[in-house]
Amino acid sequence: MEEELIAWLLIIVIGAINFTLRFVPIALIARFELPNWLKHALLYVPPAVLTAIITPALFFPGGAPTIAFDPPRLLAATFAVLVAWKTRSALWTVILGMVALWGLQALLS
Amino acid sequence: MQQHSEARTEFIAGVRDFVPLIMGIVPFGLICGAAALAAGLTPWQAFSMNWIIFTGSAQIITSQLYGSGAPLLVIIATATIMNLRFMIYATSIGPSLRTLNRKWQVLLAYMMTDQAYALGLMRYMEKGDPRHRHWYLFGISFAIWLCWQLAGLAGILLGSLIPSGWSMDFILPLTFIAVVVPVITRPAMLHAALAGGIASVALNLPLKLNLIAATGVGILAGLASEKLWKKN
Repeated sequence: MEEELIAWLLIIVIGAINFTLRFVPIALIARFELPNWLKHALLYVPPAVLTAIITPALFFPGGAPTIAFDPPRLLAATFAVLVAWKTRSALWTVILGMVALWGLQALLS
Repeated sequence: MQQHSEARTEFIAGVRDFVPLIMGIVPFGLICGAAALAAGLTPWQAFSMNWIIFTGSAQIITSQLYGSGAPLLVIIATATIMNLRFMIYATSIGPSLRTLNRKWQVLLAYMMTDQAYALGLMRYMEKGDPRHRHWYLFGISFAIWLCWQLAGLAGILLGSLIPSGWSMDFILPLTFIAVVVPVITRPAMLHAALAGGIASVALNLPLKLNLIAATGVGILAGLASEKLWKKN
């Protein structure tokens, strides 16, 4: 029961913060200007945070701290980076990445 | 009448531009729904997450951290960092929404997504009368919102049926690869990405603080790279 309440709290708090981040700059746009250094730093959030999510998923498929060296995953991910770069398409990246993973798993195991 | 038909044209144009995004949103939504259940949330909570948080990346991270027993404050801080990018979006599209009333602003802010922001901003920058363009933004945002709810629901209902041998969890890094690669337009971005990636596996921090610390390292690397090579 308490577990369930904690999860609700989490969902509602994160939802509220998320909405605030999206709404406040729009609502206060006349008066609201992020300081330049902050704007500048925020530019690097997407590349930093996204690769920080991707990389552990490749090296710790079973969860940290056990590094499991898994060649099919690493090769398929590298291939997916090339696909994303060439096609700029989420669809092709996901489809070809999965096909590459299945193919490599079949070949290498 | 004229006004109505212009608004409708914009709305339809927005929905039409949503169509090619479907294949990126549906698998991601399925995974988010399934991951929430796998992390131990109830189906009702998993479903509520879809419309209360309404950001795939933050939902997945919240589920993963909750499932691994991370402390509440760490989960909240991590999800907030994931969502900081929305502040940039809101600041940049804000001036275009200045003349709208509060209800519109609340609605469009609530439905803001990476894709709707990017396409909506492009629409606002086109030549011509911008008066009805919020209908375009609403069209694409609403279509994405609906698609997300349905995909998430399907993930909650079907997630447990997908055999684990298919390695479907790999779709998550693939989705993020598809998002991050186009972001890297200059060397400093690449350095931020590499530093964030390396730090996330090299740092072995307690309380699942890796992601926050790695993001900080990535930001610093980007700023440092810019300083060191002025042209970046």
